Parts: sequence; C-alpha cells; structure tokens
Amino acid sequence: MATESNINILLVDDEPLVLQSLSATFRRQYNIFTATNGKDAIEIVRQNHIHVVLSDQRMPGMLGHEVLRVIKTISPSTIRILLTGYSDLDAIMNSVNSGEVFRFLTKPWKIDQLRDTVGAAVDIAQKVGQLYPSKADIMRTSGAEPAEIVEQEEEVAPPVAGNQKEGLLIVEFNKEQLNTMMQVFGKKYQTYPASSITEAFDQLSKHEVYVMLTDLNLNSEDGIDFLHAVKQEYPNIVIILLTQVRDALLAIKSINEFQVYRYHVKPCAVEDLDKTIQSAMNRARTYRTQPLKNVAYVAKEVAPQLVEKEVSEKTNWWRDKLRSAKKLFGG
Amino acid sequence: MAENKTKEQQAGFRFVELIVFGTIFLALVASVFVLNIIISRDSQRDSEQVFCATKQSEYWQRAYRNLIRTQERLAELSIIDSIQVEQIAEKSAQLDTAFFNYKKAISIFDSTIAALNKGGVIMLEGSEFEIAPVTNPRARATIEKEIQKWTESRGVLIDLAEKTQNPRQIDPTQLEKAIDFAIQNDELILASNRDFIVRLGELSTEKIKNLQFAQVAALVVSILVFIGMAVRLTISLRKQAKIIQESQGQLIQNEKMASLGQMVAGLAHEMNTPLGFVRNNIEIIRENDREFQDAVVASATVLKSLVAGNYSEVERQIPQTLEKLKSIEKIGLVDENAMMITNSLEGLDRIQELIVNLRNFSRLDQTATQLANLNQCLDSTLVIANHILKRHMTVVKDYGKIPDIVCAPAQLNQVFLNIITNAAHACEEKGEGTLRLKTFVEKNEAVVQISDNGKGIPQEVINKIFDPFFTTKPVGKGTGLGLSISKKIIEEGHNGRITVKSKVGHGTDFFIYLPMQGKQEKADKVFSESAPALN
Repeated sequence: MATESNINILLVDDEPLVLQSLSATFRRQYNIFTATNGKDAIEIVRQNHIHVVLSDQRMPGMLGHEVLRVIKTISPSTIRILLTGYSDLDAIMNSVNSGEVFRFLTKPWKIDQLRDTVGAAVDIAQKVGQLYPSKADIMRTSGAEPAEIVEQEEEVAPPVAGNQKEGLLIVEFNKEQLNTMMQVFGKKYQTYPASSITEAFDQLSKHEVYVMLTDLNLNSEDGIDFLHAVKQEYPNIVIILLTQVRDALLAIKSINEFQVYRYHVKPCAVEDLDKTIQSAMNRARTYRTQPLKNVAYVAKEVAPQLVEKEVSEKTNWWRDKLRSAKKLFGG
Repeated sequence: MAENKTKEQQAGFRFVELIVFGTIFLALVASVFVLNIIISRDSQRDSEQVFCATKQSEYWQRAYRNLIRTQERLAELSIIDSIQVEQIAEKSAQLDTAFFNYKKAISIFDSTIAALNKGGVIMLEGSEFEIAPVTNPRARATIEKEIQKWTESRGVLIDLAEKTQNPRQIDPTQLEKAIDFAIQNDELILASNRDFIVRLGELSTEKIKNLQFAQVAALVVSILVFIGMAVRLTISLRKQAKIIQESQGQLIQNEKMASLGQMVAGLAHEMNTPLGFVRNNIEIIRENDREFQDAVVASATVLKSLVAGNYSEVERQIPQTLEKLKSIEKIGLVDENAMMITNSLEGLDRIQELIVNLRNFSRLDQTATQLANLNQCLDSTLVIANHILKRHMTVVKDYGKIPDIVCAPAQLNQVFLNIITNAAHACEEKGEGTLRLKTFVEKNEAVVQISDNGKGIPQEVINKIFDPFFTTKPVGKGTGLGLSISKKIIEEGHNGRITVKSKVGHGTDFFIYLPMQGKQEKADKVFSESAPALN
C-alpha cells in the first residue's frame, strides 16, 4: 500500500471494517496510519508527523474527543476531524468548548464530503505546519510535556498594547440583559452594544472588533448566516456564543460554519464568561500577529472551495453588505 | 397547563363543597341541641309555675278555712259569758291562731297571683322560688279571670289582714265582705288553678311532641346530608382516583417510550457503523469499477484489432492497455474490490442480524407468552445495550444450561435492558466496569443474575429502589419507574421474584427468579363462539 505521498493521515476507529473502508478511500493520495484505540493513536502521533487525524467518537476506553484533545497538545498543527454517530450528542457539546475539533462529520457519511473535508484539512495542515517546529525538533527536546506546549501557545499572545482597549461586541436581543452585560464588561473592555443583527452590522463596520459575544437566535437561519458571513469577512474575530439551550446540532453547526470559540449556556457565572472573554482576546491578538494560527483564516486561504460550499444565499447577501460597508469606512 | 388548572379548580370546588356539607351537618346537630336546651328550660319554668299554682290553691284553701274559723270564733266569743274566763281564753287563742294563719296564707296567695301574673319571687317555708310570668296565651286564659277578680277585690282581704291588730276588734263589715268574696270566688279560684295546671300539662305534652318531631326531622335531614356528603365524596374520590390512574398510565407510557427510545438509540448507533462503511465501500467499488471498465474496453479494442489483423493498431494500443492493467495490478484493485465486497456483505449481514435481533428483542410479531430461552433473551438485550456498554464495560457471560421457559420474552428483555443500563450507569464514574450475566437453575426456578462492580446502592435507599418514582438520576433523565415496572413484570406477569444485593463501592447484584413450570394457557375450545353449523 506504499504511496509516494508525504502527507500522513491517521484514522482511528475501533471497528476494523471501518478502518479498511476509510483506508481504501484515501490510500491513493495519502500515507495512511490506522489505530483501533486512543492509546495507539496517540502513540502514532508521537512517533510520526501526522497532518490530519480522523477519529470516531465512540470507542472503548478513550472517547474520540478525548483522543483529539491529547493529540492537540502533542501536535498542534495536526488538523482534527471527529466522526460522530447517533447518541454522541452530549460528548460533542464538551468537545466544542475544548476547541479540539476542526470539523464534525456525522455517520453515515458521503464519500465526496469526506474527501473534500479531509482534503481541505490536509491543505490547512500543510500551511499551518510552517508555523510549528517540525516533529524532529519536538522529539529532540524530548520530555517536553504536551501541556507545556499549550501553555506556550497561549503565552505567544502579546500583552495588552498600552491603554488601548480591545473591542468587544456584545449582541443581545434582550435589552435588559444587554445593559447588564454592558455594565459588567464595560469597564474592562471597549464594549460595543448591539440589540439586533443590523446594529451588530453597523458596529462591525465602524469599529475594530476583537471578540464577539453573541446571543443570536441561532435557530433562525438569519443568525447562523450572519455569523458565517462575519467569520468570512473578519476571520480574526473570535466568536463566543451564549445560548439558552444545550443543542448539539447547533454546536456542530457553529463549529463547522463559523468555528465558534466557546459555547456558553445561559445563565452562566460572570467569572467564567470573563475568563472566556479574556482567553478569546488573547486568541484574537494571536490571530492578528500570527494569522496562520487561525484555522478559519487558513481555511479561507487554502481551501476556499470547502468554505464556499457551505455558504447560502443569505450569507452571500450579508457578505456583500459587510464588504461594501468595509470599503465605505475604510475598515 | 390549562388542564392542570381546571383540575385544580375542580379540586378546590370539591373542597368548598365538602366544607358546605360539613357545616350543614354540624348546624343541624347543633340546632337539635339548642332546641333541646330551650325546651328543657321551658319545661322547667312550666313545672315551677305548676308548683306555684298548686301552692296557690293550697294557700287559698288555708286562707279560706282560717277566715271562716275567725268568724266562727268571733261569734262564739260574743255569746260566751264573761264569767267563763277559761273558755274565753281558749277561744281567744283559737281566734288568734286562725287569724294569724289567715294572714299568712292570704299574703302568700297574693304573692303567687302576682308571680303568675307578672313574674317574681315567692317565699315558701323559708325558701325562695323564682317564678316566670305566664306568657302562653292559652295557659294565661285559664287564670286571667281569677287574676282579674283578685286584683279587683284583693284590697278587702289584704286590708283585713294587714290593718287588723287585734282579731277581737276586727271590723265586722269588712270581715263580712271578705267572707262574701271568699265564698263567691272559692269555686272559681280552685277551678282556675286546676284548669291552669291541666292546661300546662297539655302544653308540655304538645311541646314534647313537637320536640320529638323536630328531633326526628333533624335526624332525618342530617342523615340525608350525611348520605349526600358520602355520595359526593365517593364520586370525587373516584374521580381523583381516575385522575391519578390516568397520570400513572401516562407515566408508564412515558417509561415505555423511554425504553423504546433507548432501544432505537442503540439500534441506530449499531446500524450507523455498518451502514457507513458499506456505503463507503460501494462507492469505492464503483470508482474501481470505472478503472476495470477502462481496462476491459482497452483490452477488447486490442483483441478486436488483433482479430481484424490491424497489427499497427495493436502495436500502438498494447502499451496503453498494459499500462492500465499494470496499474490495476499495482494498486491491487482486484484484491481491494474483493475485500470491499466481502466487507460490505459482512456489514449487510450485521444489519440483518440487528433487524433479526430487534425482532427477538421486541417480539412484536409473536405472541406475548411463549417458550423462550433466557440466555438468548440476554444476548439480544446485550446487542441493544451495546452502545451503552461498549465504551467502558466488559461483559462476562456465565450462562448455565437452562431449559426454555414459558414467559413473555419482550417484557423480560425490557427488564434485562433496564437492569443492564443501570449497571452501565453505576460504572460510569469509575470509567470501567464488568457486567456479569449468570444463569442457572435452582430448585424449580431459573435464575438470572446480573452483576456489576460499580458504585453500588447505599443501604438507606436499597429498600426504595423498586418503589415507583424513586430515582437517583437527575430530573428528566429517568422516570423512576424502570425498576418498579420490572418488579411488576417479574412478580405479577411471571409469578417470579426479583431481589437485589449491593455493597457501596463494590457493586450490585440483581437476581431474577422465574418459575420453570410456567402455565401455558391452552384454549379448551375450538371455536370462539358456540359452533354454528356451516351449510
């Protein structure tokens, strides 16, 4: 099965027949590694430079998202895809917030969709790979614990620049809640309130927004389309969702369509939300200095076909509006 | 919500109704008591009046007698010679006594008349008696004339008694008048008194009759009210029971839906995997097939050219065709396709197995009660529960040789699934666990033992786990009916027993005992109705 490809992808599933099927799908383009459990998968990532990992969620021992979390710390440049089946919804919710997943694929999958997603992930991985030291370097400084690498990544973010506050856009339809949030976060951040999509749109075109905290009613297509358009036009904005309900499908959508950063369920503790905003600010600064760390940005650069495919008409309409507003204000 | 509200309102209404009934009942009882008290006070008054009237006639007679004797003694004194000193003294003393008695009697008589007329106190033999005035018009009519007569002429008799100091110097004309009055009215006074007493007696008999009637009426009414209350209460209790029954039915339905959902989830998960790779495999086979077709077409062209003797063409086509065949060989497409097809068939077999298992699990297309093997039941339950167990549970089967028993397999499967699910949840915190399924025969019973080494059940709740609505799971996660329904299925449906042993931190063992000679219901008739002759 040896191929001359220098792209390594790792397939993880406890079911050998699935592994055989997936191997057959990709073996002509890429080097295939397979593992039937989380431990083996992690070992393979330690030993090899893996570009993309595609893991099943439900496996004996470690669950898929747990495996991906560990892989993220060992090899941050590896793009992680989670294959989920029925009744894994609860686990998905947790995985969204640990930020280990690039895309969710649901079972049963379509072969074209699978190939497109993996293909885009490979492109992104190659681009992102330039940012991180090669596997060989990591191996040389062996003993470097995975956790440290994560810390390192966060530390890379530059400190707050002088007295300039970073923009926090708060989108909340409920005026009362909007005011409360403005009061809580107003002192700490440069906050911009918006109580509708239109207002959010105005604020986005007038100010430089780092983090967007939003309670859009995402069940309406409008909300998702708008956020998707925002992420397309301003890939550096980090989006935090506040919602009323834990809804796994929504979580999958928000990861797949606008790479949501965190997903908070109302009501939540002020401290937790503040912590999230802070780390989102750090993330946003990192994106500005090191765009390659922004998967959404890279995806747009190297795999526009993947991104474009998911775009609906409404999104395009919003994108056009955002684009022209940008030009008008010179943002 | 709206339904709940009307139910609450209904309950409130019934509560108010109950209060109304209770109040009426109590009021009736109380009014009978009050009536009794009033009437007994009345009759006490009457008997005092009777006493008064009796004394009245007694004292009248005494006054009358003594008045006459006074006159006789006076007359006797007037004819006695003054020399008969002894006789004079004796007679004077008799006169004094008679007059004194008259005086006393007439004053008491006067006070009794006044008492009966307007009420007041009479003094008799040193005791005071308070007498109420006669108010009843019928009673009063009997004494009205007497009172009137007395009021007119009492002066004559009272003055005589009061003004006379010495009986021997009594005013003869006044005495004459008094005697006249007495003689004239003696009959009237005595008759009036008699009549009065008789009338009071009559009245009291009437009153007692009325009282009895009122008591009986009140009793009847209160019995009616009581019956009404009881009927209404029964009705409302029945309604309440019905409501409770309905909501219980609803909950049991929910539980059924929940276990159905569990089954569907398990099934969907188990199907997803084979479906996923079978589909993928077929797409790959199709892609490979295109290459095969290419090669076949190319080979056919070469062959045709060869047959046609078009050698220059053959020479030109052979390298391309070989290239195609080589590439197929090199990538191993033939083997790959063979493998993909084998795998797909296996996947399809698995789906088929799942469907067969679903049938075994739910047995919707079979009779509820039938001969079944408990080991098989456990196996089909394990397939359904696989998605809950897969991640962290090791399943150890320790099946004994047990004969088929008559049971309701679908229901037993529900019980097994329930206990197995609980076992999986009990091991969740630990991250891994062992589920042991053991079957064996003990005496006349087939025993299924389902054990886990999870967190165990605390001693204080172990007696409650079979109670309906008892759950340790968060709200919305469990109905708390699973084990209570399981118990019902085992005990009522199968005449079996279900017991539990548990140690916190060590695990839990459920034992299900099922009698082996279950009764198989046999139809003892051929036709469902009395057989009609067919023509």
